[in-house]
Amino acid sequence: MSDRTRQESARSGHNEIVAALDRVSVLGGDRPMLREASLSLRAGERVALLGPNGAGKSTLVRVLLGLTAPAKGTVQRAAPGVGCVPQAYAESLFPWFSVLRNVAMPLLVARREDAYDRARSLADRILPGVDPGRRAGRLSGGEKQATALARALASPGDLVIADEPFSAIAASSRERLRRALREELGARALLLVTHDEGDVVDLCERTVRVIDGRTVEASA
Amino acid sequence: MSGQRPAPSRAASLLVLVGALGAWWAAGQIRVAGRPLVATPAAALGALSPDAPTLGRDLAATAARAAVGLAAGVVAGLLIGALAVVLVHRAPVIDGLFDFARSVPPVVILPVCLLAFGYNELARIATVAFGCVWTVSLAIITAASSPKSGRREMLEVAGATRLRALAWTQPWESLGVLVVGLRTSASTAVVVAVVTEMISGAEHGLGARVIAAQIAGDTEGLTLDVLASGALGYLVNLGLRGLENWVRRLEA
Repeated sequence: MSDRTRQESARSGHNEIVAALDRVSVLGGDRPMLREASLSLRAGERVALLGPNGAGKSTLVRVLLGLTAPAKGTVQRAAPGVGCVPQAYAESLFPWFSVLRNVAMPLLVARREDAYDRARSLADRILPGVDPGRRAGRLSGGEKQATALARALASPGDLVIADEPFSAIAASSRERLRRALREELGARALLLVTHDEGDVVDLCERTVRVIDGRTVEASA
Repeated sequence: MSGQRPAPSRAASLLVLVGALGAWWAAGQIRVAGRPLVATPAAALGALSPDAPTLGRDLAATAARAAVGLAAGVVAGLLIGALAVVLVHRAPVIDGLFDFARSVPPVVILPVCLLAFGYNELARIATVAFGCVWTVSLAIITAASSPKSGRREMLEVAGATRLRALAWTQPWESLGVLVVGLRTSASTAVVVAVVTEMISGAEHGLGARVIAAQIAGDTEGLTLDVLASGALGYLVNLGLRGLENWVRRLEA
């Protein structure tokens, strides 16, 4: 199925759930980090995850990605190939590899022949002016975050999860990167963790708030 | 107080070097048992000219002994470390056993090796290898037990199997710890090689040379040999520090 067909199919109401949490609790030391949190993401859906610091947003993301096991509740993980911009984006890059190889990584994992072509096209769009052959360890903080975003968009799966993907990006470049994310996302679902109302308005159609480990649905 | 460090100065470094030479010269003037504590810088330099050919040969012999022992220790350390990584979660006592083995001074193993292998090169090299093997093994255990990195998590999320994610990240992420282990082992190898030559004797080597100079009462030659031993250890350390810095830059 082409990207366009997938996008049309996803947006026309054929919305199967790509990932979900059902009444999930996670314990973290002396207090629960998530309390019976629930969330479902449908194909093509763009959801903003809001909430104060320490509310449990990043924990929720880690559970959804299968990186943290819940103490209670059920998790429906997305199919392999999820694109992810983690909060600790710099630690997720391979500093000894080039920008191009970092961006291509999810496609190399999926053994796609067009890995480097697709990565180059994304790097050109999201990191203009940065030599794709440059070692990722040599990039600035903002460039590293943009590389992580390009890598997430190169992922072949049905879902992109981005945990504050513009936090280190200069204000002058944010609009350009939002547009790139919106357009390159195609038919994939997006879960965007953010504190920025501009991200929500620009990118998302549904909002879920996390308050003290609990999820609360809200309209965008 | 500004809290800023003063800028490095060539003049200050030169002054320190001149001061060190002065202290060395002063030590050369002290006589306790009828002989000077050490030869003066001029006397040691004077001994260099006639001793240079044999000093070079002995230096090379010690360096070769240390290098072969280090290589054997690293290979054995990698194998033992890899085996320990597999077993350490089931039997955490392994970690403690390795720490204990590392605490055994390698030189006390020399008599064991002499008895086991005879008075030959194999015993000396086995002693050097023993000095290196535990540090390398512990470095492997440390590297393997590091928490799952963000890179590994990213690869698993992207669909890589655990084994593949590990293979793509672990060698690179372990490099820093391994180079530190190698540097420590290399310093140990030089020290153990020299001491082993001193204790068990050797046809060529700095340790044998030091003992010969001591027996002959050759203070100038002895001072030169001590300096040569220091130079060998320093050069090895310098080279491996360069490697360590390169790895750190790569990881940055």
